[in-house]
Amino acid sequence: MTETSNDNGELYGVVAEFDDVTTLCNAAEKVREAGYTKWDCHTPFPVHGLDDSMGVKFTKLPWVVLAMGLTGCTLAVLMQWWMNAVDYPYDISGKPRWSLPANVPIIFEMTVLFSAFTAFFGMWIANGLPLWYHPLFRNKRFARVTDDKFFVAIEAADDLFDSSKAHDFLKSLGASDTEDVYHSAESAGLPGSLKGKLVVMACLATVPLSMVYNSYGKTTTEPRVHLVPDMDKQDKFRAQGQTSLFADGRMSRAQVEGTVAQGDLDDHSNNVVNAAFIDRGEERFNIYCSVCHGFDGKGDGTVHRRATELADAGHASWIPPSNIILGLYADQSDEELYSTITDGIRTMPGYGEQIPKKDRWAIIAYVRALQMAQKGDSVDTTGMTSEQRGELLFDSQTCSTCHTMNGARVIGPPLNGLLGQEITLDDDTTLVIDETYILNSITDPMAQARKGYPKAMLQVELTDEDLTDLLNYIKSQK
Amino acid sequence: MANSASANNLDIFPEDLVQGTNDFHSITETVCGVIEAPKPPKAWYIIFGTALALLGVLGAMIVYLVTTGVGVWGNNQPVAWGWPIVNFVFWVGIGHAGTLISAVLFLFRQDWRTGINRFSEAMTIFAVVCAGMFPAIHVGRVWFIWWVFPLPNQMAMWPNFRSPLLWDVFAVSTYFSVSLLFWYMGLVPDLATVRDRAISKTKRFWYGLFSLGWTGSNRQWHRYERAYLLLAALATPLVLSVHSVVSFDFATSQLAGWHTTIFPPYFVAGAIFSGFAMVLTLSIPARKIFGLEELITLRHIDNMTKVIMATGMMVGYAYAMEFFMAWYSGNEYEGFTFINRAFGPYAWAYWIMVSCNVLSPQIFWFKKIRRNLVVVFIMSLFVNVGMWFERFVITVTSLNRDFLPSSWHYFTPTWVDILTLVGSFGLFFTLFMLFCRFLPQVAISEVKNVLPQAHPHHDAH
Repeated sequence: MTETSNDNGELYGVVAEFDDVTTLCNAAEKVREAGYTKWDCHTPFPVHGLDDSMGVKFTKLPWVVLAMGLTGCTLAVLMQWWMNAVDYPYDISGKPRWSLPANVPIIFEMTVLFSAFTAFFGMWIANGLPLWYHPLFRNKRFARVTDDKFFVAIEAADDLFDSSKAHDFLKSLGASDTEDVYHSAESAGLPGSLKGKLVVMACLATVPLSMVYNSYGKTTTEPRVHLVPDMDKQDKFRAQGQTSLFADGRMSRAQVEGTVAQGDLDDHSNNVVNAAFIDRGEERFNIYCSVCHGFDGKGDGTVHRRATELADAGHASWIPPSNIILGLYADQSDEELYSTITDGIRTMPGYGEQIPKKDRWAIIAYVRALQMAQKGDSVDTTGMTSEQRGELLFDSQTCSTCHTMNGARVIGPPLNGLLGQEITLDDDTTLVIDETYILNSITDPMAQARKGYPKAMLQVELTDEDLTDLLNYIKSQK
Repeated sequence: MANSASANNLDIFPEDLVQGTNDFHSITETVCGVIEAPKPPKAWYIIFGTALALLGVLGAMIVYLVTTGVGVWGNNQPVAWGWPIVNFVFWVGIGHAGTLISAVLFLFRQDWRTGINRFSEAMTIFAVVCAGMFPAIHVGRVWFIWWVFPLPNQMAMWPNFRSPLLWDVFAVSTYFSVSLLFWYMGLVPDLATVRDRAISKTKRFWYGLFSLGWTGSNRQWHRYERAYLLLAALATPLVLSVHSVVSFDFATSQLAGWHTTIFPPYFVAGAIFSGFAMVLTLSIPARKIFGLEELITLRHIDNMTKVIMATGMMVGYAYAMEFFMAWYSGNEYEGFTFINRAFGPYAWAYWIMVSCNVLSPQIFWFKKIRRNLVVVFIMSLFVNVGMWFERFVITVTSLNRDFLPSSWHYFTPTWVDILTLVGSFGLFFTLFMLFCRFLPQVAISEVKNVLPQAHPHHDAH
């Protein structure tokens, strides 16, 4: 079958056909042993054991895939961190902007995506494909390589190549047929008709691009095209729109006079501050607030102590809760405290969702009580007069929450100029205030309650000496 | 490697993997014959015509939806997730069998996969196309769907990577890409076969273009097989991750009936279950119509029914375990949701699901039934129906009884919902019928590889 001359073109090599895999494998082993380097086997399916027979070196593809897989993994981490924690930080329920667990699914998917693309495209690149022209395709018999025949091809470019020797050698290995294969004399370009079509297609492809380029950054007087009119033109009133429906021609309506926003009816003025209310506040305070602020409000709660331990050991950072007994908070209005409880402040979260409005006000009443109760904690009373000690007690033992010394009525009656006053009691009897009445009112507040005031005064534990001091102070205020 | 003996080969490669007296050439003839026949069988025209009509219905529904708005669907508070998500999970679940068969069974050296892997991979890709369509059209303003990808946009915003819905975007699109690569890579040597046999110039051009100049070179086969193994190894965790991520859409919410850690494995088992059922639904008629009975044998069908039975029992276990967890948690909302699921207004759907998915596959304990094609075909339809209802039950029964009884609502689909689902089958079968006509339905080179004569025996030594 050997043809020495051929007017088609340059010799590519010799191709030999084999009928079964066993002969092929044995032949491949012999060709390798003969020292050929530029040769290959062609089979309809991967023949197992042929790699060993041919001495094919193990591909490096898995390492490339590993490297690209790690690249995908790293990129996914960086992308998510940069996009969600740096460039466009998402604040969701105060959760950390960057936490790995929630990002794992996408890290995994990107790792797989990069690895798979590398395995796929890397394989074709390493195989030198796509390559739509190959001299072997010009051999008629070779068409059966994808059906049921097996081929060995030795290239003319091999140093040991000699056409007739190669034919004899391959025949001796059991080839059922051997043939020369030639390159095409003509260049292996695209067919002329296809070239024309491609040129036309390429020209057409530039049309949309040039349209985009042409209108880029330009203005137009043409109205925009409404692809979805239902969505673009909705039959509704907009804030600044006009209508003939109302006399003033506006779409937006002013609020009816006396409108109260939803929820605003329920304000503090409806609350009665009495012992039960403050008790309720204490209970709620101990549940919600004391964990951080401590039972005494000084900011020494269990959470704070534990967090401080952790922070000292370097495991966490911690901003301590405020001492709400101090002046700053004593000076804050109830509304400010209410706002802090509702919406939170600095690192403190808002408790509006957990604590009903009324309870928030109760907590504030209790906080006021705490502030009063602890006001004089560290005052040195030596050398003070009895009246001065009484004034301290008055301010620190919650008296001043309800009573004033300037004649102003808060919750309880004002306490200046008390002695000799004639008052009406709850049972409509009248009474002239004397020292006994004052002392009794402190030790057993509700026994002879005054008419017109809430029966809300708390019983305060006082020593006899304190009682005397307080009495002297009250007497001194004219 | 065994020193010799065809007896050994018979043990490793049981006869009925490929039936009849087939050799390399006859396999090529059988598979390529379908493509090379001047006209496809009559049944092909009937199915393709029907599918094309349904595809038209789908197109009309999408145009109506986009131009009018999602109000044309039955979704409304509290059932904001209605049929679109049900259909999405249904299709993406079907799309799991393909990669499972081609990748997982490949890693486990289950040679019986070769007969059906091309088929089921194609099914996977078309099912994922149908699945991906639903989230895309349900966003209302379809032309903004690209906002789900981390691409720079005029709002200078990036997507929220901590949202399970975004995980879904990545999982499903990765799965689609990898499945497509895997499928196409397997196709290349077979496309070369069609190219080498093609008579018409057009065919030679197109098959030649897509077979990339494949010459069957062993040096190329070496890298090809390595890459195939790598893709299989990558696709295996991927296929498990995809339905896990789909289940996160539900499981990471705090809704009773959804908020449960059993969802990922339960969804994966359900996906394999429904996927294998769909492979059977497709392959039983296809092997008959296209004369592939010797390549897709009763043994393949037998094996698939066993997988269906196993995964069906896993799904049944998950159903039972959900009830146990609802009771054991002591959470009254969980308890209510599950009692409502089985005995509430959607009890009919729940019991369709249980009878189709848990009870009906039990008949596969009998070999006679496993090999009775009519029964297996009908059972596979039952499983498809049951798995659609599973997604319906999970989605709708958890939502329709909101925490506020004043919001309670009985969800009913609109005619647009129904025709969109029907139309998605049109899309699926149109693609599938085109595949059957123009691409090799069975992996030619892989089936040749499981014939005894594909392996060299070393007698010559």
